[in-house]
Amino acid sequence: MSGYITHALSILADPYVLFVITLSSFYGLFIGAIPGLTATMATALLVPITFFMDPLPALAAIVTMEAMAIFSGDIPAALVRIPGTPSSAAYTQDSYELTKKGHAELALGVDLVFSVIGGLMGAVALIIAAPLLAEFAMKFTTFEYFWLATLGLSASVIVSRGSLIKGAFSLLFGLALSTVGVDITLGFPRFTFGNVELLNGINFIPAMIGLFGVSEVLRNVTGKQLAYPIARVKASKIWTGMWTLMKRYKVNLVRSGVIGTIIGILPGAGADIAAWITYAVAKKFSKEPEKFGKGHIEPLIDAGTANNSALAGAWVPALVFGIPGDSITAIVIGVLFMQGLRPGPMIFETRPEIVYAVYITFIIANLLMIPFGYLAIKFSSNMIRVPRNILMPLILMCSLVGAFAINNSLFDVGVMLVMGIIGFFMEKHDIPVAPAVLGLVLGPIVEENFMVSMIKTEWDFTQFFSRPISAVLCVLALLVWFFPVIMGFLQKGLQNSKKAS
Amino acid sequence: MKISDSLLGLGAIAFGVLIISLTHNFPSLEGGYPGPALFPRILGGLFILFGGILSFQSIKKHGLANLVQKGETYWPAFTNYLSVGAAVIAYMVLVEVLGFVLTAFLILTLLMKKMGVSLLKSTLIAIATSLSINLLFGKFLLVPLPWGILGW
Repeated sequence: MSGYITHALSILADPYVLFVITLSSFYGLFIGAIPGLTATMATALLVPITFFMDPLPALAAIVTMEAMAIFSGDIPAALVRIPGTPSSAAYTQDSYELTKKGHAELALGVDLVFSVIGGLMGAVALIIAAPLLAEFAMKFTTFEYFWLATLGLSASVIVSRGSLIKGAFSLLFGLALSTVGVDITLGFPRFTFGNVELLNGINFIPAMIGLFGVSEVLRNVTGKQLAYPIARVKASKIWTGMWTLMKRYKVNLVRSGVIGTIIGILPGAGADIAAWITYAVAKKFSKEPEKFGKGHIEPLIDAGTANNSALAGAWVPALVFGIPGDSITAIVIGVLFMQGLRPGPMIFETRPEIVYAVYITFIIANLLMIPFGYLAIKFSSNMIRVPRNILMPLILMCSLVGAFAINNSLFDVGVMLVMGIIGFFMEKHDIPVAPAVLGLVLGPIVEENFMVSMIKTEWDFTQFFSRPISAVLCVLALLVWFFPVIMGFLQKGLQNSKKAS
Repeated sequence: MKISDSLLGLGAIAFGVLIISLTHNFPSLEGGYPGPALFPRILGGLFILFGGILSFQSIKKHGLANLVQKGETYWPAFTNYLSVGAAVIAYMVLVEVLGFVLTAFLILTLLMKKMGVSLLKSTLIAIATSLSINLLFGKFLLVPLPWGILGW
């Protein structure tokens, strides 16, 4: 094992890789700090560049970038009351109220320090959980993978915010897109309408750039231009009082780090949902719940820790099963496939240095966040003030080049535009985008494992339920499906009992 | 502009029907078992089911009023939206003729001008961006972008 660690370390210590890590840190900090641009968009735009790198620096770039972006999303939340990424939305109100009371340095200090601790907790969980699960996953066959993917898809709908039916639409749309192209059983071209470019299916990366890049450009250029005042901060004062807060809120820290990681591991739920859930949990257990939303420090500690710990958590199912924990790792799985690497338990045996590199980069990225985050806070007002009318055309150009460069195909640019318009439509109608991404990635896994299982057992359905692990996964999936129904009954029951009393 | 949930549901039903109808000529597996058509048909069926539920819920709650909510008409937003689409289409049409640098320069200048940046500023930023993207992909990542007939 130590051999692989030294191997991974020696690759990461290469000046080229260090240069890539530094650049992607600044890129992540910048995109995260711009309100309206998400870490997922940053990943989608980074992929065309990482596509032409070796797998190790490519993954290191993505890990560093996402860690930095989720932290720096907190900066505009505190300074202008607009979250930089959706992951900071849960505690934006509290951050801004703190700034209004003249405690901007305290808010940003907590954001930075607890992001680092949360990130490191997630990284440790990833390092411990991934190899254990990978050993277990070696026992999995097509039946188990079918249930696992189904479970992941269902979870992505359940945890999405807003209407469950709209979440289901999003998922079905992603699954439907995944059926385009040559089918697995007979090699029959489905929904290609005679187009040769569609035989291999809809290209994933241009679709992602459309859904996250172009749609965000469309949303930004159609929104009203806001001129917001930006509070000033004295960056040198952010460290004051952090040690005391860490000691006072150590229970919150551990609780939110653990919950954040677990939510990260759940397929489809990422940093943003981790922040919302830990905010709610913190309020429930707080001694001062009435202060929440009015400029209290506790939500920043809880949700700020959780969103960063969720990031590493999301890599657990992605590396072990090839099932993404959030939208960013969904794109990562696409990257791994393009690099000729198949995520799954075998990657821990065949290319262990890749796995160790992800572990090590998570730790390096979170440590680098201390100095780089400090710089980001120091220059925050310059970053937030970057004019939107210059930035959006530039992002569009990067999207165009990225979508084109993957396959040198103009058809892919068209795919990007169509997906951009669809993504914009979905956002406008409160349809969450994450389930569609999961559907697109997991659709082929669900279908392939189902069809292969059916053909090899000559349509004997009982196999899906009679194998022990398969049966457990099946029960879990059923629980997830009936979760809304059960919750509905419980709530009705509660209301009735209240009325009766 | 926003369409109501009842229309959204009807749209989903129509999409489900479309998917299923497109699978009518898909071949079956040996022994008559469903093959390529199975998965799309299940998806189509679920689209119809969930679309039905959403429409039903929405009509029950709001009736058939407000099928399309017009929202505030905000003219620059609409033209900005169109110009982003036009920029992508222009890129697809022009990039192989004019080459990347020239196409990117033109699109960026016009788009920034449209968004209200001054002409001088737009031109300078467009030149800097198109050249640096070309340098990044061509020299650093070794992925040549289209040259075009002019050779640049």
